[in-house]
Amino acid sequence: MKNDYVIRIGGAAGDGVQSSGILLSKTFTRHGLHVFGYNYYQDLIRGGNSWYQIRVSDKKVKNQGDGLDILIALNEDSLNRHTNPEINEGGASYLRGIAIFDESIKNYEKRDFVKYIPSPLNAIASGISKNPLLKNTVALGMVVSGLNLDLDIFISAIKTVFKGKSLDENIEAAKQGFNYYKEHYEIFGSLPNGNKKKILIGGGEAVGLGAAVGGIKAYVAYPMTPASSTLHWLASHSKDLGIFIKVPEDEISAINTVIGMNYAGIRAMTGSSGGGYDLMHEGVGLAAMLEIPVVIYESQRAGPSTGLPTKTEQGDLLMIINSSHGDYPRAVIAPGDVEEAYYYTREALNLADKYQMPVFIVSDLYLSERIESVEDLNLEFKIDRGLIANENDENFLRYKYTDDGISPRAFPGMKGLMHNEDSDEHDERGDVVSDAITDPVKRKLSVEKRMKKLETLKKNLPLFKTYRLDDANIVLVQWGSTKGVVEESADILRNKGYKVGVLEIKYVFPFNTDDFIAKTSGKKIITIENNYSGQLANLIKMFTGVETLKINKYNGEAFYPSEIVNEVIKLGGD
Amino acid sequence: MVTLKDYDYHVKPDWCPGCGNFSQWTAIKGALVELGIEPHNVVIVSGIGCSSNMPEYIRAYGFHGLHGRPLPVASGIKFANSDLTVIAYGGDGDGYYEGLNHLYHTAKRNIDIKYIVSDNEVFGLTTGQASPTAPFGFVSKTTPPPEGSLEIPVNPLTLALTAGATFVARGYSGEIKHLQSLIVEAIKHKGFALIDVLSPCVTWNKIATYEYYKERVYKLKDNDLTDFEGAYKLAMQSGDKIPIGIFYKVEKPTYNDLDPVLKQGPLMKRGTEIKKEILNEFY
Repeated sequence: MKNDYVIRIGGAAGDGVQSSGILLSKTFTRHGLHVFGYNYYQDLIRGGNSWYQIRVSDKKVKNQGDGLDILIALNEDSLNRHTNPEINEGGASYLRGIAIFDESIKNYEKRDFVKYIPSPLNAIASGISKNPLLKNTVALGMVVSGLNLDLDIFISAIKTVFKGKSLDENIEAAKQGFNYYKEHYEIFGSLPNGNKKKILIGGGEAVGLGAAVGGIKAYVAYPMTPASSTLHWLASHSKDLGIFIKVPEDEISAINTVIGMNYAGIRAMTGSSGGGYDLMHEGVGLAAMLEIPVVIYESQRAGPSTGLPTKTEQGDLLMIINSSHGDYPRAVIAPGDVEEAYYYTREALNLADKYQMPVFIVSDLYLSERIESVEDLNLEFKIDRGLIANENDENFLRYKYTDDGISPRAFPGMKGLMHNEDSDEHDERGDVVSDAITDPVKRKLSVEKRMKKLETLKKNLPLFKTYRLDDANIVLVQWGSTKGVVEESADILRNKGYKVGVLEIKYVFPFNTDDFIAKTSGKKIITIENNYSGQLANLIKMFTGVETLKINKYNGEAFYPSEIVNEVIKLGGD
Repeated sequence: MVTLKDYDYHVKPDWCPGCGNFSQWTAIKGALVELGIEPHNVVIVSGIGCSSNMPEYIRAYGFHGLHGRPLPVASGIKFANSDLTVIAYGGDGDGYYEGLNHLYHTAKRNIDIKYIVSDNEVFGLTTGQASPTAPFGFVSKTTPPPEGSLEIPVNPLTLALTAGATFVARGYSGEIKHLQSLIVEAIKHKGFALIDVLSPCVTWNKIATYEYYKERVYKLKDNDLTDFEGAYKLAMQSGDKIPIGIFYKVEKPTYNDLDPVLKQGPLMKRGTEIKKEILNEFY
C-alpha cells in the first residue's frame, strides 16, 4: 500500500498558498501522520507563481520528496505548470495523480497521466461568503476526503487557525468540500493512521524555541529573510516568555547591543541572513577579543549580494568561518533538521558561555522555512553559565592565563571585580598592552590564551554523526539542511544494492580532522552541498588533505532525493 | 562613603599634556563621587579614539569597544540591567561620523544612557584629520589648503534635539566644575542625555584652542529648559558667542519604562522557566 504522498498547492502570492499548506499539514500531524512542508515562493507580496509542497506519510518524512500525487491549482498557470513533464522548477516533479481546480479553468493542456477534477470551488465558497480565500478550504476539504481522512480532525485544525466569523465560514467550506468529493469521486488513497499526534514546527520556530529554553532574555535582530521566522516567533511570545525583543537601526547595532547584553550578564542572541551578517563581522571580532559569549543565528539564502531572497543556498560557510579580521576562536554548528535546530541552538548558548566566544548556528532557507513533524521535544535543559568569579575575589583576573584558556567572567554590579574589557590587546587583568609600549610577551600569551579555548572545545565536542555508515564503501558527506535528503538518498541507493552511508557534519568548526579520517578512510567520499564551489569540500581538503568527489546544486532550490541518487550512480557508485 | 580614591585606577592616562580629556576624566569621576554612586554599579563604554581610552583609566566596569559603536553596547547593557549607571563616552569622529546613526536612534528611544562626547574637531589618534565637527575650510592632512574641509560641520546639539533627546547639554574642558555639574544633572536625569564637550586638542587643532574658547564661551543662565524652539536657537549659536550649559531637559518615559518586558525589572535578575504549554501551539 502506498503510504507516502506528495501534495502541492499552487497559486499566486497572496492566494493563501502557504497558510493552506500549513493548515493541511496540521491536519495530517493531528492524525498522527508525519509531514514535511516547504514553501516555494518568490520575492513579491502579490502575484507571481508560488506553491507549497507537503509530503505526508505514516513514517518520518525527511524531505519534500520526489513525485507529485495531488495538486490543488488555484489558477490556470499552476495547473499547466505542474502537469507539464517539461516542468522547469529546479528539480520539482510534475503531476502524476489528481488535479483539483476550479471548474472555471478550461484552458489547459490535457495530460493522460493526470486525473482532472474540475470542481465548484468558487461556487461553494461564494455561497458561504464573499471571502475569496474560502475556496482554498473547500479544496483542502476535498483532499482530506480524497485521502480518506477524518473531517472532524480537519475541523479541529481549522479551529486553531481561524477565529470568529471566519471560523464558521471555514468550517462550512471544509464540510462542503469534503462532501462534494465524497459524493462525486472515489477515495484516491488511504494513509495508515498514526498512533500519536505529532508536533508540527518550523525550522525558524525551532531555533526560537531552542533559544528560549536555552535561557535567552533578549533577541535583537534586523529583519531579513529567511532569518525572520525566528524573530517573529520570539516576538509573538515575548511577553509570556519574558524575552525582550528589539529591532535596532541595523545589524551593526544588533550585534553590538547583544554583546553589551552578554557582557552585562544575560544571555542574548542575534540572527540574520548572510547580507545582514556581513555587517556584523567587526562585532564578532570584538566579542572574540573581549571573550564575551555571543550566539549568532545565520540563515543562508542564495547570494552574493541580494541574490535570491526567497531561495536556499549553503554559500556562507567559509565566510562565517573566516569572518572578521585577525586570528580568533569561534564555533560553527550546522543543525540538519528541525529537531536538531532546536537542540543545537540551546546547546550553542551553553557552549558560548562556557568557552566565551562567538558561536554560530548556521541554517538556510531550506531548513529555516520548512515545517516538519517531530515526535517530541524535550524541554528539560541544564543551563551552564560557565566560569563566573566570586564577588570581592582579590585574586580576580578577568583574562587569567589558564591551561584550558578559560578564565572567570564578572558582570557589572558585582562588587570588587571592576575591570576593563578592551578591544585593544590586553593582559590577564584586562589592562591594555598596545599603547604606551607594546608588550610582545603578553601579546603572545594572550593570543595563546584565546586560541587554547578552541583546542579545549575541540577535545570536548562530540564525534561526527553517521547514518548507515558501518559497512559502507561510499560515504556521502553533508552539512546542515541536506541531512534528510541525503539520508533518504542513501536508503534508495542501498535498495539498489549500493553500500552507501552518510557522514553528518554538525560541528563544522572546529573541524575534527582525526574523526573525519577515521570514519572515511578507505571509502569513496562524496560531498553534497547546496553551493557552487563545494565549501565543505574545500574545508575538508584544508584540514585533511583529502580531495572529495562533489555533488553541488546552486539554482536556488533544495535537492530532491532522485537528483542525489542519479549523481552518486554517475560518480561510479560501485 | 564613596571618595575619589575609589575611582582611582592603577593605569594612568597617556593623553598629550594639556589634552581636554583630562578635565573630563576628572569631571566624570567627580560627578560619580558627588552622587555617591559606587564603582561596581558604573559601566563606562567607549569607542575608538584618544578620548575613548577613558575606561582604561577609571576603576569601574569598563568596556572599550569598536569605533562608533559605544551606544549600541551601552543600550544592551542598560536593557540587560537597568540598575546600572551607564555612561557612553567617545570622540566626535566616533560619535558623529562612524556612529551617527546610533546617536539618532538611541536618542529617540530615550534609553537611560549618558553620552559624553569629547569634541575637538579632529581625529587625534590618527594624526589630526578633519572630523565631522571641523569647520568649513578647516585645513588638515586630508583637507589640504587652500580649500580645506568642504563640509559644513555636524551640529550635535540640534541633531540630538530633533532626534528627541530629553537632555541636551554642552560643556567645555576649560570649565571642569561646570562640566562636572552637567554630568551630575545628566546622571540624575531619567532618560537619554547628550553632553557635547568642547575639548581642545593641543597637538592637532591650532584654531579651537583654550584661548579661542576662553574668549567665546559663556554659561547659559535662566533659559527655559523645556522650550524646544528656544533650545534649538541657542544650539544654532556659533562664532563669537558659544553657549555652554543645559539647553534642553524634559521628562519622558524611557524605553525601559515603556517596554512590556523591560518594565518588569532588570532582565539580569530573572530566571528561565519554560512551561510545557509552550508546545501546545505546535500540536
